[in-house]
Amino acid sequence: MRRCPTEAIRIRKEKAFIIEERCIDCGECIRICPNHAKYAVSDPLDSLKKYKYRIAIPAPSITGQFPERLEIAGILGGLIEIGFDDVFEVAVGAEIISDYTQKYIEEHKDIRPLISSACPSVVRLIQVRFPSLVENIIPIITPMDITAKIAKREAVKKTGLKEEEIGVFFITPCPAKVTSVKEPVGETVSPVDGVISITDIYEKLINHIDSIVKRNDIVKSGKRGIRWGREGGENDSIKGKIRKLSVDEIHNVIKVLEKVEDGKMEIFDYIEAQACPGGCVGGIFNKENPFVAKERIDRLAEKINLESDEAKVVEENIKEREMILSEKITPRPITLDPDINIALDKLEKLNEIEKKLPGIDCGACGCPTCKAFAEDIVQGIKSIDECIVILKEEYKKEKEKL
Amino acid sequence: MSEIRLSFEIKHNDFDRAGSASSNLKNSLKQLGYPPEDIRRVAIASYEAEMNVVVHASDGRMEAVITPQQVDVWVIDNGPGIENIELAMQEGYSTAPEKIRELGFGAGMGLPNIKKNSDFFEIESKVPDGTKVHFIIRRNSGK
Repeated sequence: MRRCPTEAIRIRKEKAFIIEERCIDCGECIRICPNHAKYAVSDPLDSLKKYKYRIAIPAPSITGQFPERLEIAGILGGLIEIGFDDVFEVAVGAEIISDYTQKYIEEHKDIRPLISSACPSVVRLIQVRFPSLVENIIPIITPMDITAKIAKREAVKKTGLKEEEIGVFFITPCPAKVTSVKEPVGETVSPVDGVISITDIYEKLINHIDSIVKRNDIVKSGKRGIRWGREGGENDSIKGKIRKLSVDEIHNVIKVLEKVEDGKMEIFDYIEAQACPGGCVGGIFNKENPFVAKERIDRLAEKINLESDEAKVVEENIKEREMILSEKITPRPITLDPDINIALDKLEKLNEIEKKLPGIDCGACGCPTCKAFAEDIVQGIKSIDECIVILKEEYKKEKEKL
Repeated sequence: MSEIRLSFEIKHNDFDRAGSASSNLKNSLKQLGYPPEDIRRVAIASYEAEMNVVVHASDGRMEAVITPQQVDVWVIDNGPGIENIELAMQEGYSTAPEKIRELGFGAGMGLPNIKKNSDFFEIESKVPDGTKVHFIIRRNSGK
């Protein structure tokens, strides 16, 4: 409960409850809870059946999930064997996005630093906790989205099927991506049709790892794109004279964003920020230890070309406006009240209540901090006698009276 | 009329807690639903003013009055005061010692930055009594 970076969790009726509008889908609660009180939902493999032609678009971080001997060709071959008709790596789209990001940074010098839009949790963190930094988010679509667009377009050409008969499935390490497909930020509809967790395909592949047919013919990615799966990989892939900072793990990201807010990070052109420790390799649907996965991604990336030839070919057919977010990302701050006069009164009360509270953040009241408890009291959700420390004092006084 | 008064202590040379006053002020404004652009300007101005106390002065405090119309901030310290305010207001002018500059502070942008980000700015200083920086950021004045 206390681990949550946006104080979204409360204990109600002995169960952990998430306040939806505060949740940024970072997965910290899933990662930390020893009792597995929280879990994430993705689409079942069965949902493939809804489409005539199914394309898997695996996240670059998938490269680190299986024993090295399977190689990238084996992972992609495995996806074909479990029911996909084709595979198009997001690492290819990542390279295209990297090139456009470089161009965008070089052409837009009015806002510094620009912040990557690739991690959906970071984007939502900014909307909720750093509303003044919404303008710093680079308005470029994610590698997942561009890959889905390309994959669908190519499949229409190749098969002659209608768009709606083709299903594009993102293979994800990240529960936040499930939300960003269902409720996209900065776009009206996601070009992705379904999201399947790495957990769901892991066992299917690992159980017959040695019989999987390696498909070198469908491996199109380069080292640049593959390394997006780990922290620093995105920055390394962006060329040019750009001063870049890389930060991973949500609490570290918050510290950096605080500094951006205070106007102390303007020397940087670009910030790659990722909610998970180690970047996407730290995503909670992953199976492999993130540090091991990181090293493995680097080793496998060494075996392929730096640049993807495929990315160069498809890049030529993509218009720049296709890579720009169609809608503005809006701030979504958590305020005490929409009316500032009422909000001021509530804040006054909140500060008064907070002074009375012990300030030890014990959590017994079901709120992560005394401050959050005070906020819940002001909002009429809690009452002050739910504080166990205050109750104890009262009890002591009563006892002395007797 | 609704208003709220906030008061925060600032400790000289305490780099672990440095920034906590402006951070508290910033968070209060977020809870009040102040426009993001205004919060950004308050954040920059109050952080600079707070850091001036941490780096150059003695202990001090930050007082803020928030109303639906504006954020009024005073940052007051107990000395040693600024010898030449005109010089201190020049961009790039700094009296910060090398060890402070190594920490990334003392670039000589502090006071000019506060002025730039506020709608009203005044500074009073007396050697050796101390300095009082007062600035106002009006709601919705950013854009």
